[in-house]
Amino acid sequence: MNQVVNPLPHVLMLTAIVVGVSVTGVALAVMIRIYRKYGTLEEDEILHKIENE
Amino acid sequence: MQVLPSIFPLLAVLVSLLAAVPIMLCGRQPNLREAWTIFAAICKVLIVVSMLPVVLEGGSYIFTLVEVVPGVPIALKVDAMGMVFALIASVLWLFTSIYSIGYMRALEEHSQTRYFASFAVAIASTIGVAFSANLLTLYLFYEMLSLSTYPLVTHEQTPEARASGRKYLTYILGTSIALVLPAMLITYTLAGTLDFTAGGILAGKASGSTLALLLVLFLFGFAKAGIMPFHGWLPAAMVAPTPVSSFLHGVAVVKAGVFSVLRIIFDIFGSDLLVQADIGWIVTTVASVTLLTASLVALTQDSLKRRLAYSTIGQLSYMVLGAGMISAVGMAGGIMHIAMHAFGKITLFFCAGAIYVASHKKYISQMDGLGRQMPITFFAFLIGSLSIIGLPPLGGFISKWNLVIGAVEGGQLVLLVVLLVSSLLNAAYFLPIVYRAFFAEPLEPAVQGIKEAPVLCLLPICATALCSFLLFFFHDVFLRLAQLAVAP
Amino acid sequence: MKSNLHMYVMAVPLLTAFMVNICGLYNRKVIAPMVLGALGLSSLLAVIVLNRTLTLGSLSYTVGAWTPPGGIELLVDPLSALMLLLISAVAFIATFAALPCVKRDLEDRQHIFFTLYLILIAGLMGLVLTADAFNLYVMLEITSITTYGLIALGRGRAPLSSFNYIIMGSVAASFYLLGVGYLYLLTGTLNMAHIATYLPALQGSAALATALAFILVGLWIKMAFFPLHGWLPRAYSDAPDGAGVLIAPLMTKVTVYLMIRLMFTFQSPEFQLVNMDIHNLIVWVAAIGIICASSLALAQRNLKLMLTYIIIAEVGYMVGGAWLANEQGMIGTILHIVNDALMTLCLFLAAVAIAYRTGSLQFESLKGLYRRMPWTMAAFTIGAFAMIGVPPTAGFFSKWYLLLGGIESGQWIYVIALIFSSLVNAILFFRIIEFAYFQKAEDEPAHPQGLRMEAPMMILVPLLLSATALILIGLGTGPLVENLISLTIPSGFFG
Repeated sequence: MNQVVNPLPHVLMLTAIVVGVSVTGVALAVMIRIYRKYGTLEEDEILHKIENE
Repeated sequence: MQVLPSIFPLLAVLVSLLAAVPIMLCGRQPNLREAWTIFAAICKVLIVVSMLPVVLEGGSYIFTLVEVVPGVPIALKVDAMGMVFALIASVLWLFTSIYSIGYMRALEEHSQTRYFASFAVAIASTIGVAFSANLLTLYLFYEMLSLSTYPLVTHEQTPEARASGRKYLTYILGTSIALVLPAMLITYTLAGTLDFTAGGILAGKASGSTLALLLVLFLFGFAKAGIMPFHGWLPAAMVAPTPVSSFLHGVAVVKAGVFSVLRIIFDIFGSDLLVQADIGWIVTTVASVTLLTASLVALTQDSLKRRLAYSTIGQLSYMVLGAGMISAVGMAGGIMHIAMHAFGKITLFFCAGAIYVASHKKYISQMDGLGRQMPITFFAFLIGSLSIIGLPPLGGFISKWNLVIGAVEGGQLVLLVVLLVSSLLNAAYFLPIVYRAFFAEPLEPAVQGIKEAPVLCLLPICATALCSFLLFFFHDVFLRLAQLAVAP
Repeated sequence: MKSNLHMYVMAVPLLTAFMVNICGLYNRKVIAPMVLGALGLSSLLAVIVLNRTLTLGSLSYTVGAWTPPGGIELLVDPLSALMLLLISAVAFIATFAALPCVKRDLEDRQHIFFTLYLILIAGLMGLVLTADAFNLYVMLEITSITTYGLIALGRGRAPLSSFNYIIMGSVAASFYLLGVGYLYLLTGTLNMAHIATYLPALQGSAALATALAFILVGLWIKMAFFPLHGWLPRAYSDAPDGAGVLIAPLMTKVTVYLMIRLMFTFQSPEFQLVNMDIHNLIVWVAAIGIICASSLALAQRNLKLMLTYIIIAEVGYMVGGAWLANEQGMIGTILHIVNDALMTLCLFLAAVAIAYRTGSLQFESLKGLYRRMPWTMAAFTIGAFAMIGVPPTAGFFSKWYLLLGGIESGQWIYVIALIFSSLVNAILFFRIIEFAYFQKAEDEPAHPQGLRMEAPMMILVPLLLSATALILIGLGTGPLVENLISLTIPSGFFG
C-alpha cells in the first residue's frame, strides 16, 4: 500500500497545465487579432498607432 | 408630557413631495400645475397648524419610518422647536407660491415646471429638517434640501448660474460631507444614539477637547447657517430667480442650517454641557464675528439682492448667538428670531423681486426716486427693514429685545455691545435705500404715475409686511414655543 | 446539512451556455429567451437557497459523492447564498441591456458572446460555492478566460487591453496557485475548512506566511487593489457594452468576497491570520489606494474610464473595511459588496444607454442629455448620489458602517480617505451633471419634440429598476444588516 503514489498532485498538475494551455491559447488568439488590427506586435509601434488614430 | 404616535408628521413632509409628481405631469397646463402647488401648500399649512395645539401644551408627535442603523431609525418628531420652523416655512411657502406665479409669468421664465417641482421637493425637505427626530434623519433631509435647490439656484442655466451652482454645492455639500458626516459618526460612536434629547446625549461621554472639536465641526459643517468663512455660497446663490432667493435663501435653506445648529446645541450637546465644558464661547465668538463682518460687508454692496444676502448672513448669526448664550431668555430670543427674521427678510426679498419685475433694476444706485413709482413696494420694504433692524412696533423688536435681555442676564456685556452695534449697522445699510427711493431725484426721467409689479406679486408682499407688523402684538405662539424649546 | 439545490443555481447557466452555442448557431431568435430563462431560473433558485441557509444553516454537496478532502465540495452558507443571489440577480438584470447592445455590435457572433457570458456567470457562481482551494483556482481561471474573450470582442483597442489583462491575470493566477501549492505541502489537503484545522499548529511558520502572502497578492491583482490595478481601467472600458454591464459590477466584488471567505475560513480564535501590524499596513495601503484612484478619476475625460477608476477606489473601501478588524468594518464591507455591485450596475447601465444613443462617452458628447434622455439621466443621478453617499441611497449606509469601523479602530487615515473620495465623487459626478444640464448639444434641433432620444426599453427598464433598488436597499439597510449580514460573520470572529 505504501508504494502507491498519491494521485492528487498529479491531477492538480495536469489541471494546472490544461488551464495554462487554455490561457496561452486565448492569449495567442488575442495576439492574432492585435496583429490583424495594427499589423505589428511591437508594443511601441502599436501605442504609436493608437495615438495617431 | 404627551407623546403621540401619529402619521401627521409624515403627511406634512409627503404632501409637497408627492405634489411634485402631478406638477411634473401637468407641465403642459400651467394653470392646473399651479393649482396643484397652491393646493399642496394649503394642505401643508393645515396639517402643520393642526398639530399646533398639542405642541403648545408641551406634547409632541412622533412617527418612525424604518430603522436603518441599530438605534437610529429614520423618524420624525414634532416638538416646539420644530414647530417654530415648520410653521413659518409652511405659511411662507404659501405666500411664495403665489408670488412665484406672478413673478415667473411676468418674466416669462423658461422651465417653470422644473422650477415648481423642485420647489415642492425643497419645501418637503425643509419640513423634514424641522421634524427630524434624530441627527441621521436631519442629515438626510438636509442633503435632500441641498440637492433639490441646485436646479433652482442654477435655473437660468447661464455660465454665471453654472459658476454659482458650483460654488453653492462646493460649500454646502462639501462641508456636510467633510465636517458633519464624521462629526455625526463620532457622536454615534461616543453616545450610541443620535436621538434629539432635551439636555443632550453627549454629557459625560467625551472629554472637553473632543466636545470642542465636535462643536466646531458641526458649527461650520452646517454651512447653510452661513457662519463665516463658509458663507460665500449665499451671495453667489443670488443669481437664482427672486422667489427662490426670498424663500430658500431668506427662509428655508438658511434657516435649515441655523435650525440644525440649534438642534445640535440644544439636543445633542445640551446647553448645560456648553456651560459645563466651557465651550459656549466658541459659539458666541464665531457668531459675533460673522454678525459684525457681514453687516459691514453689506454696507458696501450695490446689488440689492447681494446686500440682502449679507444682511441675512448677519441675521442668521443672531440666532446662533442666542443659542450660545447662558440665559434661557436669550436662547428663546434666538429661536424667535428665526420666525421674526423670516417674515421681515422675505418681505424685503419679495420687494427686490417686484422692483426687478416692474423696472428691471437690480442695483441700489439705480433706484433713486423709484419709490414714487412703486409706493406700495417701498413702503413694504421700509416695514421689512425696520423689523430686521429691530424697532417697535414690528416683530423683529421682540426677538432682539429678548436677545438683549439674555445678554444682560447672562452677564455677557460684550454680546450686548455686539448686538447694539450690529443694529446700528443694520439701520445704516437699509435706511439709505428707502431714503433714496422716496426722496432722491430720479437719475432718468421718471415714469409718470404708478407702475407696480403684478397683483400676484404685490399681494404676498403686503401680506408678509402685515405679518411682520402683527407679530409685534401677537407673538405669544412663537414665544411659548421658544420657551418650550429652551426649557421643556 | 446535505443538499444539492445550490449546485443547480450554477449548473443552469453552465448547461445553457452550451445549448446557446449550438442552438444559437441555427436560430438567433432563441438566444434571448434561453439566456433570460436560465438566469431567471437561477435567480429564483438562489432566492430559495438563501432562504434555506437562513433557516437550516449551511448546505453542502459533494460532487460525485466523493467526500472531502479528496472530493470536491460545494458549500453554501448565508454569505455565499447572498453572493449567489447578487450574482444571478445582477446578471439577470444586466442581460436585458446586454441583448440589444450585442445584437447591434456583434450581429453574427451573438451565440459566441452569450456562451462566454453564461460560462462567466457560472464561473462566478462556482467561485462563490466551492469549498476547495484548488477548485477555486480553476474557477478563477474560468472566469478570467471568459472575461479575456468577452473584452477582446470590443471595439477599438480592446484586443490590446484584453492582452494586458491576460498577462496580469495570469500573473495573479500563478501567485494564487503557488500559494495553494505551499498550503497543500504544509497541510496535505485542499479543502479550505480542512486546511483551517491544521493552521493553529503552524502559527508563525514562514512557509505558511509565504503561502498566505502569495494567495492574497494573487487575489489583490484580480480585484485590482491599488497599486495592482493597472489592467482594469482599459479592460473594463474597452469591453463591449453588453459585457461591461456584467463584468464591472461583479468581477471585483466577487474577488473581494473570496478574500473575506479566506479570512472567515482560516482565521479562528486559535489562529491569527496575520498580526496587527499587517492589518494596519493593509488599511494604510487601502487608504492611499482610495485617495490615488479617486485623484486619477479626476483626470479622466470619458465617462466609462472615470467609472472604472471609481471601481478601483471602491475596491480600496472594501479591502480596507475588511481589514479594520472590527465588526462594523466587516458589516460595512459585506454591505458594500452588495451596494457597490448595484451602484456600478446602475451607472454602467446608464453609460450603456447613453452610448447606445450618442455613440460616445466623452464628456463633450454628454451635452444637453437632461433634455434628451430625462429618464436615463434621472437614474444616472440616483446612481451618482449613491456613489457620493447621499442618504437615503444604499451607498450612504455602507459608507456609514465603513466609517464607523474606521473610527472605532482609530484608523483615521482610512476615515479621511473615505471622506476625500466622497468629496471627489461629488466633484466627478456634478461635473458630468453640469455638462448634461447646462450645455446644449451642437446638433440640437430647435423643436423640442425632436429632442427626445430616450434609450430603448430593454436598457431603460433595468436601469430604472437598479436605481429604484438603490433607494429601497438603502431604506432597508436595517433589516438587511440585522437579518442577513450580521449572521454571515462567524461567531467569535472578532473575539
